[in-house]
Amino acid sequence: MVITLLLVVPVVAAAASFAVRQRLFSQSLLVGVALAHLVLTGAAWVHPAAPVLWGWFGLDALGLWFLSGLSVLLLPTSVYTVGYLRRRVKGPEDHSDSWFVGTLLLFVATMTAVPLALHFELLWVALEATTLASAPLIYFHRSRHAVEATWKYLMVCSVGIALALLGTVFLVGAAARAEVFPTVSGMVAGAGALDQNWVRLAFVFFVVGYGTKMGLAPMHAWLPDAHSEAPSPVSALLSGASLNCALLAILRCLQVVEATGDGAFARSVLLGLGLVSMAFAVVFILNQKDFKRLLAYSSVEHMGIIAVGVGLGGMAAWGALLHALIHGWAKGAFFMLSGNVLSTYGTKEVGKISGIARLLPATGLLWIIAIVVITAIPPSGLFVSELLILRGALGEGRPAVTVTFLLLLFLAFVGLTRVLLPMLLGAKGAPVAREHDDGRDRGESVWLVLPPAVLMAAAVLLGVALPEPLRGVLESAMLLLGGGQ
Amino acid sequence: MGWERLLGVVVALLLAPLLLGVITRVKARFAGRRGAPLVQPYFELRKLMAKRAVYSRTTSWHFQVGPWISLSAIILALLLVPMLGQIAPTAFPGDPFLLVYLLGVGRLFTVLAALDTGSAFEGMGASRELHFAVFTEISFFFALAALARSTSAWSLSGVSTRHALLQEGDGVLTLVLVGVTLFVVLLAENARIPVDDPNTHLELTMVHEVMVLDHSGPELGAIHYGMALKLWLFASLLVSLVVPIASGSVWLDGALWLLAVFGVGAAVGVVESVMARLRLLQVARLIMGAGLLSVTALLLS
Amino acid sequence: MTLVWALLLLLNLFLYASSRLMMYIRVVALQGLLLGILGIYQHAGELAWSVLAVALLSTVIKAFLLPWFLASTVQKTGIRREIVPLVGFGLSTVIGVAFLALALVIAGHLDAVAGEEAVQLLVVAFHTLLTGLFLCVARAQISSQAIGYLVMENGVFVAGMAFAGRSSVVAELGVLLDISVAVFIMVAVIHHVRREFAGLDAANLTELRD
Repeated sequence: MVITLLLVVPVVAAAASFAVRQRLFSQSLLVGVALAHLVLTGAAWVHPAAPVLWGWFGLDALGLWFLSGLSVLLLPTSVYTVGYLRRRVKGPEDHSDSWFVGTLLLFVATMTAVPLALHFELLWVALEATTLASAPLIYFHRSRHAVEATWKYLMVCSVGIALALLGTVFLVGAAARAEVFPTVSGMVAGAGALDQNWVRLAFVFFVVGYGTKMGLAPMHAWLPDAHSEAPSPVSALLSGASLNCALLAILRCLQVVEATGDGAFARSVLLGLGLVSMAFAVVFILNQKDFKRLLAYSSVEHMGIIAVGVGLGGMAAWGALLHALIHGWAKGAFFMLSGNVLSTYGTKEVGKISGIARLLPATGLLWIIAIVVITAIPPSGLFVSELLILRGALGEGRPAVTVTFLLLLFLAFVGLTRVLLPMLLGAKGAPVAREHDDGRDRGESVWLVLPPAVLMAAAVLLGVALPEPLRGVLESAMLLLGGGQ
Repeated sequence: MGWERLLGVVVALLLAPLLLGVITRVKARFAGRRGAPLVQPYFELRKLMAKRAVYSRTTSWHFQVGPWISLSAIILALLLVPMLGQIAPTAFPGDPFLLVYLLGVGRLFTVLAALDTGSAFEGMGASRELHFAVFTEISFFFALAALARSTSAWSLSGVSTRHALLQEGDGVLTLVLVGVTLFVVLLAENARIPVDDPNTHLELTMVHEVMVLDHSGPELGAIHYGMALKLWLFASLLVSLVVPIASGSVWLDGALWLLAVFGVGAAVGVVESVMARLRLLQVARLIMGAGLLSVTALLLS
Repeated sequence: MTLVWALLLLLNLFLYASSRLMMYIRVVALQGLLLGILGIYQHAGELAWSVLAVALLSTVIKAFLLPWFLASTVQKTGIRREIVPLVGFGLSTVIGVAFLALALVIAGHLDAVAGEEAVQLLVVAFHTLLTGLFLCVARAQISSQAIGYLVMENGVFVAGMAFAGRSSVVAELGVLLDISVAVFIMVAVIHHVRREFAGLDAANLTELRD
């Protein structure tokens, strides 16, 4: 029941938003759906949800982990979106709000379907659908750069996901030959009968294909363009949730690979790609001139960190899963803050922005907190997860990996703070327009400041103390990841 | 050597100009005219042989000797080609290479004769001819390689006698692809549309015709006869290697084979009538494309 | 079936050599038709209505609907040829044949695990996939890139057939839906790009960079 509702509600709401083209209706619908989403996910925590459709859709611990990440990100993002939409200058005939909300709800629906999909072909359908649903959103501002970013996003991700489909075909084919059901649980259970060659080949295509969508280098080229040109609430969801969806798809395949005994090979592939991603990201973070692109490259770096963690396995994988969750919230919040800055200053160029602390005090305070959280300074939750990954690397006896990891983290830290801190301080930069048409100051309404604050608080909270139920689900998720049941 | 093997060469020597006549007839019919008599090329040759040759003062012995050497090379090459459904008078493993290089010798001396005149037109024609020759030779080799691979025979006659092998599934594909390649090579080597227009009178658009612009008298006759023989040679190759003729009776085989060769001539006439000449830059693409078809056949066998 | 997959390979080679977008679309349509017929033939043994219906629907969409849609886009945008591709057409054809050799090598390695007939299909699958990828990467017009995506999806479809196509009806429908929606959205973005950049040259789409 819960699963069915989770799948159906956003889609129905999207249809409603397209049909009823009324701003207020769409905005309240968005927040309402986000609230319902959170409630349903909470219900799944309390009472395990029953699988639907012969076990094709179901909620295991790993899925629940990622679904919760999405849910918690969703409510603040929807509140922020309302504030974002209210601030735009519109004519009476403008129905773009309803259109935006409708497409956003479809995007949410597809991203919800990913953690719930246990059948590998449905997983593919859901992930391709996230690409398709988010492409129109990136083009919302209708500028030259937005069009270019949309095309690159659409093309690169679709090509990548086509490769992932090939991997899916191999997996499903291997399952069919072994008379095993092509769901995650089915294939893990029947792993003994699966042909290792096909599973290994499938994993390679999964990593290349879904890795493109996840932002692993060298397939990440679309990420900086798409995440920086999209409107800020969309960037928040893209960096905060859709990257995790792609990660989950790779993890699902990893489960099967572990079960067939080829785990070492798979994890070394992920480890290598993770380090490469971090390196690529660091190169482009240093000397970055556009702060939204900076945040996008930071997402590439963090995805690299997660891949390294999963690749090391054991304690590091624990840390990686935690990192995925917290990073989603923190990056989402950071993109929201960047949206505030962008609309006040009218430019994305770092050189032209300074004095956020004076002009937008609340945003400025959150900006500092965000820098602390993203660069993993304690008490950030990301500090805990990165520490776990480091400990895992040392525990596995991989000195080269540890040193490289630390070096790249340090360089990223330097790059990020060097760019982001000066924006905060200094004399007032040149604001573009701070007033609404009716003269109200539109710098910092509650709508735009409270959501990132809440998300940052959550990110820090998990760094200080991990609640027991979370720990339990994480343990179960780890068990699944290791090829167990 | 049985007499039937030599019969093919004799028939070629006698009937080659007729093939040219067939092509001209088909083109004329397409254009709505009645066309010249089929034996017109023979009259042309007789007329040319009776004339006296005129030699330019800038030429040397290459100019006078070239056409005769080319003609000899082609006649020698004819000895290697299986005709009339029989094996060739001379056949040994590896003879495709000798065939291609005999044709190359012929081409070399034609080019030398052309360059010998010191005229810009001939030089231009020579360079274009050699430009195309690079591609046609490669494509030709690919086609022969594909056939050799699928029949495991290394002489042309060997390939022609192993037709039965090619009758099943995969073989038909190889035959079709190689046939297309050989047809394109035929068009290219014999200066036919879409590679070269034999009827154009504008020197700047010519490739082969312009190389022999200054020849006259018996040399010109030798050149024309050589071209007819070359066309016959390629048509024979196409028919012998690709078209399966195995009816059992020697005479019927020969008759069918002759019919097929004239059929190829008719096909050339049709192609010339319906297509226009390609731009020079696109000719290389065409020939290479045909060659790659054979490479595909090679890979798939 | 041998001749059919050889025909598919030859169709791929056309994609490398041609410069006309309408030719690309005709090739893709023909591919879709052949694959659809092959798919229906493969399922002919089973009498399940749903399976045959999905195969038929897939044929109609891939052979008629999507190519028609792309063709009308090409006509509306007025861009009909690739004038200056990243890789010239002669070189492209050579690469196409080289890819054929590559596909044969890769499929050859899988010979032991796949079985005879499956290997033939896998050769076609890999070659079609590589062809689609090549079109996406080496062509300068973005409409060619969209067509390349469809070719890639055809390639994956062939790979699916190599496993005797035992995927479920719902999943097949989902994949079909995704591909169709993807093409629709790509076409919409193509129109927007043409409006913004006055043409469909991908070389113009390089303003965003570091």
